Amino acid sequence: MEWRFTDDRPIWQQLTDQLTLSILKGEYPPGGRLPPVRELAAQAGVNPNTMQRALAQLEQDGLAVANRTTGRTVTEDIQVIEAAAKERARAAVAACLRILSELGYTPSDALVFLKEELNHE
Amino acid sequence: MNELLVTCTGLTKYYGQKPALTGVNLELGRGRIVGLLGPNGSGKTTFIKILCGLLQPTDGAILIDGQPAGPYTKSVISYLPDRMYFADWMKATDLFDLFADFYADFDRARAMSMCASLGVTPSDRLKSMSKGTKEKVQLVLVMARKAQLYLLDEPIAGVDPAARDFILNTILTNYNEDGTVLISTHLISDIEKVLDEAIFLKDGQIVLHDTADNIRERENKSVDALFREVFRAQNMEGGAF
Amino acid sequence: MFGKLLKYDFRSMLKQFAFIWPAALVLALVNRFTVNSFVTSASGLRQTVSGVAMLVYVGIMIAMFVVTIIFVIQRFFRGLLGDEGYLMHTLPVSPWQLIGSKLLCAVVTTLLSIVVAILSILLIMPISWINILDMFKGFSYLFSHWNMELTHSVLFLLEFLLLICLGMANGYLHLYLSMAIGHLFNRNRVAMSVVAYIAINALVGILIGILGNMGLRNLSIPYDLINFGNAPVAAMHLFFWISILIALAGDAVYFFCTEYILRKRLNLE
Repeated sequence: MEWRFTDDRPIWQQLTDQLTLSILKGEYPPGGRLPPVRELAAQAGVNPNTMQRALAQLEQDGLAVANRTTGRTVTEDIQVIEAAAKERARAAVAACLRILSELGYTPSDALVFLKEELNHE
Repeated sequence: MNELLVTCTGLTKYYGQKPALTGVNLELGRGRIVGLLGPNGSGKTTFIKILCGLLQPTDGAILIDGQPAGPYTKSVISYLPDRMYFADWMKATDLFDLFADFYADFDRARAMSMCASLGVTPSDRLKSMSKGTKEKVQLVLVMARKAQLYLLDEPIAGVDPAARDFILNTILTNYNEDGTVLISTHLISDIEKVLDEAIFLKDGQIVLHDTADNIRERENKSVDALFREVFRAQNMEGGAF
Repeated sequence: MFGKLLKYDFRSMLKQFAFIWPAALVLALVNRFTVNSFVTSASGLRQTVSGVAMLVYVGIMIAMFVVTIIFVIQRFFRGLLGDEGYLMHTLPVSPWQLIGSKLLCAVVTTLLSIVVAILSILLIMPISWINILDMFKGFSYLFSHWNMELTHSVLFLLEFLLLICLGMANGYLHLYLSMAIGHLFNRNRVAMSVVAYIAINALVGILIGILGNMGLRNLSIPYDLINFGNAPVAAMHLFFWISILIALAGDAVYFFCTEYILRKRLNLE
């Protein structure tokens, strides 16, 4: 997994984002084990405390579950994952529409752009 | 065990008439990775040497795990200086023997496996090693100890960017989680991601001590960017680089 | 911890002298056979060879003692005040242990060099076992003549050895303190060490002069004791022990000053 960081946001937030994305993409399958904090931290080249905070946020969001014996696992609740994926998708669309309106295009223009792009694929 | 690992009150050090540290007050907790950040000549090395017991302060007090600097504190501190400190005719394994003799917290098996992953042959004589390899050996010695306080003085300064990641990875995967790592450097962008806290040291005084997260949230910029801001004025005044 | 420091100091001593001590003994053995030719002026070649052998032997003897002094100085200067000091002074030991270990190793090294020197002389001289037996007979006759018991002669020998060791320690501690004082300066540390050495020499000389002037009047004490109860043996013991105490005092002063500098004023570059 490629870890990329920007300068302006706390690292733990960026970690949460990227871990969420990995889960939604299926890189960490539902019910599957997440690597231990230290290992993830070393992979990402970050402080274990920072990674710990990111994972705690993941638990709070319902995407990860902490098990006393087996460590952290991805949630088995598919609905939560699908809901999170949908929210991401919606956010991406909203961002796209925002840019287009800033450039001065109307919603119908947006649909045209969308169809063109899909035809290209 | 004391709750605070390091407590400094009014720490001051003069070299003759020249002040290197003035009135430094600092508290460090356990299980943290802290960056001691400042340009050359800001007093970082002086501060670290005082922690090690290599220098005596002119004024003020410093306590490590509740004790003043002495044989006990030296037994719980693992120090990586910015220079080579051993005789050339020894082999790396001789140094492992020495550390195992004097430090109860030295993990020889870990040292050997670190050598393997860093590509160092421990049975070689130090004389035959390149400078980079010797530095790796010193790093292995320091990180193979389960110390309470790791003091790393410019661990990535003379190293190429590829090796820097490797070194940081070595530090991250081997340090004692109950212990604290204090990294002194002026290359902030490289180590920023691993820091819990950052201390800005300017002309022998602490001008900032905060968590890396707080800095980013509050200033909306990286610690590195903030550092450049804080110390930019000094450069323009003709201060030391 | 002190024992561990000693282990490493002795190890580096052995590394340094592993060649020169055996070489000295071997050369002594060689000379045993060649020295005859030198004396009896056989053929010219034989004389040259034995002359060279003698020269080399003397050279090795001198080298041995020069190397000993250099070894002691370097172990202290580089080991405690140079880059290696970063390692030594961060070990969980006190400065007095560092100094003590180096000092003990220095004294033992010197003693061993002396032993090698004596052995080599014995090797050269064509002494047979009969001669040695005769020597012992002579000594025991001397002792019985002086009415001294064996225990006392052994005690005297031990006291003498102790005095020699303390005297050696004194010489080395003088060097150590000079280097420690030189360390207090930021530049020209070597030069200042030499200055310190000379200065201490002068100070001690003056001190001895003053004490000597005072002590001359009090030197009658041993004589009184000799007359008191007719105990020359006790007087000798007293003489030894007074000397030992004086040497010990000098050693202690040097040691404490050096330890203070290393503990409170260390400034490695």
